[in-house]
Amino acid sequence: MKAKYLFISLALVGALCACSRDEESLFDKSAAERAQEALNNANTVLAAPENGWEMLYFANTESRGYNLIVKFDSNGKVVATAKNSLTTGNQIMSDESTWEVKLDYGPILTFDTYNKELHAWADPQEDGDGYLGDYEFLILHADANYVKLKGKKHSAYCYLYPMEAGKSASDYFAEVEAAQQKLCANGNIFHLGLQDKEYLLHDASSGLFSLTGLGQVPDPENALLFPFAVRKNGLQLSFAFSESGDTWYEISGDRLVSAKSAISVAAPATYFSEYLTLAGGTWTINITDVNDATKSAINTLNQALKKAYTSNKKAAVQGLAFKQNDENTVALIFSYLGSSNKATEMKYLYTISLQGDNMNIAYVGPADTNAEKVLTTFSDLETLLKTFEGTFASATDNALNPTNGIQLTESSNTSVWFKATGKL
Amino acid sequence: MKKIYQIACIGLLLAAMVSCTEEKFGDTIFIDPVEDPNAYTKQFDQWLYDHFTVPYNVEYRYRLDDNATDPNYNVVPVSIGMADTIAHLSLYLWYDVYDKVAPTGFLKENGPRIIQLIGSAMINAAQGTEKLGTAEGGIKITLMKINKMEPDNMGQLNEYIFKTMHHEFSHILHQKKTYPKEFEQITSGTYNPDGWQYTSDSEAWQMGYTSPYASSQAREDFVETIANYIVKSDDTWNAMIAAGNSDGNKGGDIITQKLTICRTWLAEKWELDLDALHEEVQKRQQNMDWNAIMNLEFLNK
Repeated sequence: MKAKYLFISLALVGALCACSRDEESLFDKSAAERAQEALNNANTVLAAPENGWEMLYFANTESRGYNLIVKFDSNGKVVATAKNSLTTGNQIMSDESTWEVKLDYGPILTFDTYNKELHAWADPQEDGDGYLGDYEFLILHADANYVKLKGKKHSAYCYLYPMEAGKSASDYFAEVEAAQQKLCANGNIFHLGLQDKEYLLHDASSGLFSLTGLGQVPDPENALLFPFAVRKNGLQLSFAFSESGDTWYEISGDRLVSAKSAISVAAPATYFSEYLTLAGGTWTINITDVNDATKSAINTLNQALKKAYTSNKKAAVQGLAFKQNDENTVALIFSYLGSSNKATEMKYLYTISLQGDNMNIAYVGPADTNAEKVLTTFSDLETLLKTFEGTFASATDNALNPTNGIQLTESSNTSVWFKATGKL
Repeated sequence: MKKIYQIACIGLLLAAMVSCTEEKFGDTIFIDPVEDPNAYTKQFDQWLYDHFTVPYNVEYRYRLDDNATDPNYNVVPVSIGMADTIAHLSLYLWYDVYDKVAPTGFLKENGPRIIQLIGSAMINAAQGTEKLGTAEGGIKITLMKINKMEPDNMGQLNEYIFKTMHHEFSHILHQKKTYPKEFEQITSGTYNPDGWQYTSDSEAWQMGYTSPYASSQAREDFVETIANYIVKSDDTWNAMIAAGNSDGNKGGDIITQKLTICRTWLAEKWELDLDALHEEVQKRQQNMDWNAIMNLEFLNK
């Protein structure tokens, strides 16, 4: 009887074991097959674009992204082309070396021999760290449209997009530089709209946004930094802003848009003021392309300067530029050549206030006794200074970066206008 | 009772058979790499195989796998161009020298099995030091800072590459046959493993060391004595000895005493003539014909 029970028990054990093989596998292929497929896919994808890839390399979280062109050949050769101040002295230069996709934590792209353009950010330099970039990357995503890499050791990030067929390196870098000028030159300031909140993104020309609340200046010690690289059609962040999953911001009209947030620029009048107070920028007035009243005042003043400084044939007005003076006033910096060929600068103060879309500029007076003396000596100067008084409407042809050119036109008299460009 | 065992065995056998069917395994889960005859580095790899692997049983690695490096340091790979140059120079100033003055097959038997090149040094900025090479278990020599080398600068190549090669190879030799205890006793009171980097060359010489690094510990002192003697010209060596004996010091004499121990140990334990090595290296260093070196015209002469 006991034997019978034992027999039944063993038969049950056997049946249970037999059932275990029927459990459905999570994967339809073995680990080795799946690993090999991932390697094959990465190799095929990387070597596919006939003109290579646009690569955006972010070495760390505290420096800008760099643009490269990388061409992977299926025989193991990679050619990297760059134009930047760090590795090429702003000339277009290429270097070739080797690449391989190998298996580690997943498919790993390794640049396993030195390439001047690719390894500059991983080179330890004198301090043992350098830029803390990588030369071995985990392949996070790879398809024909887009490859994302993450550095194995220091978490450098790279984004790769297929280069347009037939596009030369010089055309590519010219497009990037044009976009850089259009979007980022002169420390442009953007507004970021994110989930009903608005933030400021400072100092676009550094390739490293500092994020603050509205009306705030970044704290250098505790700045929230967001590295980005410039592409022909917009900006690529190294990692997304908080609460935003997006890293790619494409130009659409006068905005940079993504799926979840948009980056915009303040209206021109507000921008004029923001650029002075928050960016610490300077608005330089174009004195050769200015309204008739200002032009006439400059000509009259030039005659007075030449008369006063007969020994210097170059005596003349050199420039006019607005710069923040203190919390309440803006200085118009008047520079001129007098007795020497080194320009002398005097400051004359104004208040600037916003009235809706307009800007009210009111003359206050000289900033110090030297400025007062010059004003007394050259009475025509006051005429010039007062041509900048009034209520001005502002406009720009560079909605994404008004520092490239803004025009202020007197609301009640459109013949009074001046143009200015921004500079940090 | 016997029947119960029989039944149990049959049951277990059935269970085992049922649960172990179908899964098939090959010889390995890894897929054999397919050698690409058009590979970018095929020609160089073949050349390395022919000139290092076959004659000396050594793998000359120039590609870098970060897993094979010390994770505490940041490094970058060597360029293919510098790997090629250093490979030729290694044959000229190291392998072929031993072929000429050492017993037949000496390096094939005792040399490292792997030579790994790394483009940068391993820099410890906090201590103000940089590693230029390592020797691991008598198997592998790693040479660093290769990308910074100027091929025409023999002094630099000696200091950073060839002295390091002789240094690391001497480590391999004494890891196989230990060096004399009497060597350790000569300056046993002044080794400074933590602060050697603050010692100047002249201070080291006056203390009886061929370099500041030699003053770190006895085994480094031993291999530095050998390496420096091989790569330094007679004039440079003699000037070092004189400087070591200056200002009433006896450092030069101490170095000479240490060299004698090294010379005897190499002769007795390895049948190696240190002076012949030194002379052959010096002769070649003074005749750096780059065309001849890159075309391997020095081989079999």
